[in-house]
Amino acid sequence: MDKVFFTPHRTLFLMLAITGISFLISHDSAMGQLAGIGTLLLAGAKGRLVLLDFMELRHAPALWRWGFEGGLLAVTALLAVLYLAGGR
Amino acid sequence: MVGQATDRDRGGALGKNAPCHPAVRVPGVRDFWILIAAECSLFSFFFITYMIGRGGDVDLYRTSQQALSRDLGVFNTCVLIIGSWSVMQALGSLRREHARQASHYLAGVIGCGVIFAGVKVFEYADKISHGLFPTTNDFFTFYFVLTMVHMVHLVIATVVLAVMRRGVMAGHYHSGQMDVLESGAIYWHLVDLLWMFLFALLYLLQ
Repeated sequence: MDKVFFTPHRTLFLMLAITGISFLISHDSAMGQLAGIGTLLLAGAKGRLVLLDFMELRHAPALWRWGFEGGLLAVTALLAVLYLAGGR
Repeated sequence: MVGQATDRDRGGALGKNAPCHPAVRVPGVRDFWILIAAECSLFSFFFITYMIGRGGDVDLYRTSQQALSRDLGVFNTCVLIIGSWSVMQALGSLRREHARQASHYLAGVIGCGVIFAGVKVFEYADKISHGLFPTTNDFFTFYFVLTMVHMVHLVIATVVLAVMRRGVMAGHYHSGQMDVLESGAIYWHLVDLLWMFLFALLYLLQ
């Protein structure tokens, strides 16, 4: 997506919208573990927006940006695996 | 060379007048990112430890979680996000040499920090009044320790931005000298980033 799409206002509303969606799906007991995985993935998505748009890493050198994005992806994935391993 | 260009030359990525394709650059003081990476690593360790603990007794964690107010958690999440937006607006204003406007946005961020801390103190008081302490069980140990460590970071970020706001008002920062101010902003965003996961793990994850 074009870098210019992510203006401060759009990032703000996107973050608030994701927060609302996270809140709603966490209340949906019918979704079971899918709700938990969704909650973690949405937290990771918000974290990515913070890194790229709030911290301005979208315009940082690729290696710099990928290092932080990679770390975020790894932690989010590990938390999801631990959540599934925990069961229920 | 990135280090030789001024912020105006580089084009602040977030200002209203920012160019469509800002130059590639690392915001803030470069070495400051080592601290950011260290903080992210430390909290990642906390999050993973929490999930391992949760996996050992899911029922206890789920039951204990019911005592937390999700509404207040969502409210505080929105407060931090609005605070982060306000920081971005402050940087954008300063990049356009609008120091007065930047100081107003920074005042908004400081207000967000105070509101967040106030809500957390209310939450702590509420838990304690209901007989829920850090020693009650593993979940509340994690809840109190993680959120208190996070709040220490929030207080530091708020105080740093308050000091920087005084600098902005005194004319110490301008569009060509933004690295220190950007570093302060990045620290605030770190607080926001960490809360995204704390909120998901402690309040939402069922």
